[in-house]
Amino acid sequence: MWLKIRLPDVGRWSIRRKLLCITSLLLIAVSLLGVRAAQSYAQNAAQLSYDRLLTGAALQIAEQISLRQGRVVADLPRAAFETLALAPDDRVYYRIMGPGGEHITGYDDLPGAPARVGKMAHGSSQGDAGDAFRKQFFDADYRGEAVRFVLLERLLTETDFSGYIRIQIGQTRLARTSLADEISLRALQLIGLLFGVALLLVSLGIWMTLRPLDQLDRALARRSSVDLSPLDMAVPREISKLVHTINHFMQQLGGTLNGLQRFTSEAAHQIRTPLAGLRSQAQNALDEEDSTLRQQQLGRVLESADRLSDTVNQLLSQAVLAHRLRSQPAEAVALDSLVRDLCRELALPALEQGVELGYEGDAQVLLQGNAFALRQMVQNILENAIRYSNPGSEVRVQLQQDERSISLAVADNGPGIPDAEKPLVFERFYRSPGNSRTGSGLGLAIAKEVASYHRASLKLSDNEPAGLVVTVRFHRRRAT
Amino acid sequence: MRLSKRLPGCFVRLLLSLFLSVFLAGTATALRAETLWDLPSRGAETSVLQVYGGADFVAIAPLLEAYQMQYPSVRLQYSEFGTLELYNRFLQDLPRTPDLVMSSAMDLQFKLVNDGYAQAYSSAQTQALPDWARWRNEIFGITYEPAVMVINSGFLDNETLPSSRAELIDLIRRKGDQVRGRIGTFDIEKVGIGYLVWSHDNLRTASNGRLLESFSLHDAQLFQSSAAMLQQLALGNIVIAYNVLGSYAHAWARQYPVLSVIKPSDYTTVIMRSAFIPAAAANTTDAKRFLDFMLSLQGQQVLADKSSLYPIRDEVSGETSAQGLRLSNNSPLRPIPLGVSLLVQTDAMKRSLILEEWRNAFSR
Repeated sequence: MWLKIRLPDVGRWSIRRKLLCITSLLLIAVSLLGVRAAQSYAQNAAQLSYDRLLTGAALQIAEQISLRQGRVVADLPRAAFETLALAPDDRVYYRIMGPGGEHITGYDDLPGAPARVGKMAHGSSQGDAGDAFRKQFFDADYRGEAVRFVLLERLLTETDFSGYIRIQIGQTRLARTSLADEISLRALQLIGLLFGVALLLVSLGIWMTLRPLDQLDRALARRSSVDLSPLDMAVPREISKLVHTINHFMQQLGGTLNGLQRFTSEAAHQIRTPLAGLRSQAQNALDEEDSTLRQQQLGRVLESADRLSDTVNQLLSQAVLAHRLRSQPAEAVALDSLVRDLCRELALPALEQGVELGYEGDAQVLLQGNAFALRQMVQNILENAIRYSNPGSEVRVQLQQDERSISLAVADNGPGIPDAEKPLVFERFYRSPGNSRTGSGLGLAIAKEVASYHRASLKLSDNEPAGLVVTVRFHRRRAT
Repeated sequence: MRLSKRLPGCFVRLLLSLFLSVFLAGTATALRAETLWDLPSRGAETSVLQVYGGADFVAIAPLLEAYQMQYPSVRLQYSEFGTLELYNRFLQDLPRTPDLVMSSAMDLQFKLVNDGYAQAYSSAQTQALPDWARWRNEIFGITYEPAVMVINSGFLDNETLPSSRAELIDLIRRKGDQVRGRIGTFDIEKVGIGYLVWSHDNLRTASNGRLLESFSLHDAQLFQSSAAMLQQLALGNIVIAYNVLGSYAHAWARQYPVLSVIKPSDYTTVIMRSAFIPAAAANTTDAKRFLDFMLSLQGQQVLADKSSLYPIRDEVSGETSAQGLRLSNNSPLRPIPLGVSLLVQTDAMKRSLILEEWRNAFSR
């Protein structure tokens, strides 16, 4: 049965393992190259050494070739063969040929040299001016074995004779091969040792490099879950970025947590106070015996309940909004139809208050954003404007766009906001001291939040002769 | 001429003494082409081992007999040749070859092996040989033989025997006419072993020329076998025999105490009988067994005790052993190593140059 080898997800491999894998692969590649180089070096070295033996023997023989009575005589020196015997187990073949290529002595069936490619090395034995020789090495098979041959040509000159004598000596390759093997084995051992040492050092290096990460991990693990103070560790520069990011993240998290805490306590306060008031008003109404007064008190109870309901709605919608903004990606929103639909929806409740809602705007106003949030923002601004308008007055909505920005302006003829209070109305639960209308104090805060999410500016200005203009200006991004 | 003889193993020793007497009678001087000794198996025959030998059958017979004792089912066919004939015959008969070739002509044996006619064999026995006694695990030295000079001391009138070549030359000069025509050595043109030793000494020593000059001046006789030379020496027809194989010389000296065997103290050339298994041998199994047997302590001990040949293994004791040889004499032994330098002696032109010098010396 085949075992299915399951390769673990490479992306999840530990850095240590990856580094080890990569460096091992690199080391192996380098070692293989080294082995190849060593082998070729060994081959060359062995070849060179034993070629020199061959040359030496050929030269010794060449020296003993002379002309006797017009005949070429080769008096083989024993020393030449003793030189060759330095490769003790190799067979030796030789042949001596005269100037015309005629056989003089030795093995007459030796393979000839391959066609010369002008590679005959010219040389001159030291000090023997004019005793020129040429030599050529080649490999050939002879008697079923690979044989290395040298072919040495020596110029034989006598008073009445001049010609090249050729000496060919062949030797089997046992000694060469074993020398080459020995050299490569040595090199291989060295490379193996270096491989081992390098791997050890690399492992050590990797361990040392990754140790700060372990330390960081341990430092984080040791922390209590509420400790968001910045980490203070001596770490390498590469990891200090990570530490910095973690610290920054923790700081943000701390800020968020603080904000949430503040919001929760404010919200609790905002709900608890009207609830208590509501309770005491209801109690009063219960205790009241005069029916006209009770009617009035019950009317106030209803008013308070409305306001509370408003506050709770806004709180919930803000929570929902915050969630939407975080979780939903931006999309293309047709702002014109969004505003138009809202105006249409709110026109009737406005008329009930005696307020007229007018819309005027460009068509095809598109922007990237969150439709739900934008709708919430526009609704809040519109409701605010309607709420603070006097009966018989008008709320005007204008939507305009040019190449650089989109602006939405909502103008009412209400009491307006004094300049000193303008920056404060965006804060949550802020209510103008003289304000008697129902409202949670969250509407504009939410609008501000949505606007800043969309990188839009939210501006308050005064309307003529009285009232407030809320202007939201979206900046178009270059790319869109 | 092909002489075939069948003889039962138990008569070998009888025959040995018979043969010795035949030699003494002076009928064996003729050059033999081939003599086939057919030794039937002692038990039921299962295989035949063909051996070409350059050694006298007489000398090798005890070894063959001992081998057949160990391997009773093998029939042995031992063909005896002169060393040069053996070489030529081997090449002529190709691709048919015997199963084993033994000869004392190291140069010719080596040439056959260098030219790729032998197969490699390695065993505990072959590995026990010293490095200079084997080459490529293809050729193996079996025996160890010094080339000695033998003097019939009868003619010396109580003079001291010469112990070196210089003293020999001196003796010849002093005796002058007394030794004219009474010096014997191998005819190196016809005897392979004679050529081997002479050419080796020639290549190694310049003083060989003086020796040659001295021989030629005194009309040295040239012989074609050790036996013939030693026979004439024993008879007193010659008084000095130069470059005889020590093994034969000792055998004869034991019979004729008047013969003194001298290992020259300047240097003593030592040759090896060598054996190889031809690449195309038909019966390699028995050939390998025979080779192992020859090289085993048992086989070597047989050589030391019963043959007049010197075993090559150090561990073997006896008067005629390589060890005994090395211990008994302080003369420097110069074994001719099995190696490519032997090719020099086989070179046709080198041979003709050496023979030319030899002939020129003797034809004056």
